[in-house]
Amino acid sequence: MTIALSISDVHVTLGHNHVLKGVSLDVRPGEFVTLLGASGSGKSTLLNVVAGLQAVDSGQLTFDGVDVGGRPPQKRNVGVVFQSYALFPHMTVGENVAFPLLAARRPAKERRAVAAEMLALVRLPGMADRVPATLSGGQRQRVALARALAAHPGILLLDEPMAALDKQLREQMQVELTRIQRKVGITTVSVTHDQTEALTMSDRVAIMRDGALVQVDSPEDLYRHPVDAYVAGFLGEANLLPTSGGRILDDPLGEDADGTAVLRPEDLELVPADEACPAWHVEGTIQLLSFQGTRFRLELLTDAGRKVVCSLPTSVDASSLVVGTRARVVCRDPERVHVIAAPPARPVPVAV
Amino acid sequence: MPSLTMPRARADARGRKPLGVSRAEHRWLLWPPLIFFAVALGFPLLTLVRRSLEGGGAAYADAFEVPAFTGSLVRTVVMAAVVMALTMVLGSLYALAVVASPTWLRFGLLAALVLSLWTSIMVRSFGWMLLELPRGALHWFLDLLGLADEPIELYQTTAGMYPAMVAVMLPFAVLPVMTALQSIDRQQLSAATIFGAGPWLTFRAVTWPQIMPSVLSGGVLVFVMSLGFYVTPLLLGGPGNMTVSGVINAQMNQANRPDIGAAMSILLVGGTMVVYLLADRLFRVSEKWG
Repeated sequence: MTIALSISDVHVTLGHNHVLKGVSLDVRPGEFVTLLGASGSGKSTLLNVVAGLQAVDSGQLTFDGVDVGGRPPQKRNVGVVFQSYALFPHMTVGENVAFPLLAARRPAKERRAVAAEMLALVRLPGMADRVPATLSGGQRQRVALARALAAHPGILLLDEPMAALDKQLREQMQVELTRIQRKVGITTVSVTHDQTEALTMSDRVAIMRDGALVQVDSPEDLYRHPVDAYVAGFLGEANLLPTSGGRILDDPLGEDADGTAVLRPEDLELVPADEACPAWHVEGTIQLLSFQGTRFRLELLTDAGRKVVCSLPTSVDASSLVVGTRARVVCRDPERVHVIAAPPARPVPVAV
Repeated sequence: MPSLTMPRARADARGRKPLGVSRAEHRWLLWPPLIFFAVALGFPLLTLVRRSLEGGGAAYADAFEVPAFTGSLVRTVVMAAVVMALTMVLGSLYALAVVASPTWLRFGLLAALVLSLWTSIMVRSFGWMLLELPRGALHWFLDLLGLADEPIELYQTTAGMYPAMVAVMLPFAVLPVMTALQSIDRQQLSAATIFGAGPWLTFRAVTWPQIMPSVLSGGVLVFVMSLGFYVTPLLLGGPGNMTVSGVINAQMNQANRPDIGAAMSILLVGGTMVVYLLADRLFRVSEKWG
């Protein structure tokens, strides 16, 4: 049942706003793709385009190679988990789950059977006669998921599925949702602004910005090889330093820089000031040291006025790291330095 | 886990104090409305009760002896029921139109509703009278279209009375339904569409069940208020359509039997209260207006 989704060169204008500016994306059957972006980046609009709730100005949308652009939402056979879950409050859980079958005029007996089967899938067996108002947030989300899957849709769309849950439950449901998605094997497109959620659940993540896709890659590739500074900063924390001819420029402000090096805080380590050091290293004044449970977070201000953040294991001797004193950090593995072909933004002068 | 948290939750509930300072300190806030109701409602009602009991309760028996009374009672109840049914249907349609309209039209529809609420019932009834007179505005308009040669016979007929009464009562049926419609999550409608429901099934299975309680409560309110109709049926329905209020007025002012008039009033108020309390129990009317 699961399908391949292809979006090509889709443009959407809402009022005077050019919300989607030529978006193209191919999703393989059974793949889990997350659209990640800040609010207003157009990710929800793109999801609505796939669902058929948003008309497009131009562009093509195909399911398994068949153009569905002209099909109303009712005929697209998609399942959606809405941000508010949008459960019908006057219906029981079972009636909610079986609603797609009611709309398809299936007999009551089949509706009950499917509702029971779907509730078992989302691990809410025997809840069919409850009312949504009596359920917890996590249970409501499972019901919404069961309803979205009830009519065996070709594609599952998730609109900020975890937004209404608290942090602990969110992590639990991310694992649960991934388990169900893998089990059903359904093509899934999710929308979120939560990078952890995107990295945890997806086969590929599509970063959106200002109505366009910036980069579509596996979570690890996005993290290790971001195409630009925006992606580097959006996923996790990154030190962006000017480079010239593939070498990191230490102190100059990057006047003749032709690229940007992306250094992740956890790839940096402390090195004594007197030790000879062949790999790239930098010295600076300690601005901040904070204990974060599993790591120390150290902020250095280099002499050129750039901030460098390092994440250190808790095994380091923190007593020597006094704010205001000098420290030197090194990136020993050159493989960990990723270079982008555009120079970074000039540092904002910091008063010392 | 539950065995650990439950006792603590119970202890919290036991230790909960009422909000604010001690109860005696803000109880005085209750006095102004209580005094107002005692003076404006309790006192006249008590006077009526005393009046009606002057003859030792005989006035109640006499009330049913007045031939116009039983007839008007049946007529009033039927009239209120018809007005209720019509306003429920039209009010729901109006509320749906308001919610579904683009902004400018919604503003117009709401303004029309609120303006009619703000206008005196007397003025509105006279307005309908000018419209319905044999050679009134309606006749003039139809004449303009070449459709009316004879004067129209609508004024002071049963048919002429209903449009005006429905117009007077419409806002009370529209407002609660509109509130209910606005509180429905838009994503529910999107969900219904996504899961294959057409407009009719979406309305029947999603929208209607969520607004029905408000439609009912609006209807009950209109019914109760319509039991007290006086001016509009008098002006537009003519003498043949006299309501209970009209008969009471006749007893008080023309027949000079204020005791019978008082007894009838008590019966009307009592009946209305019974209807309202029953409806409140069944449909929780007061919650929709709180």
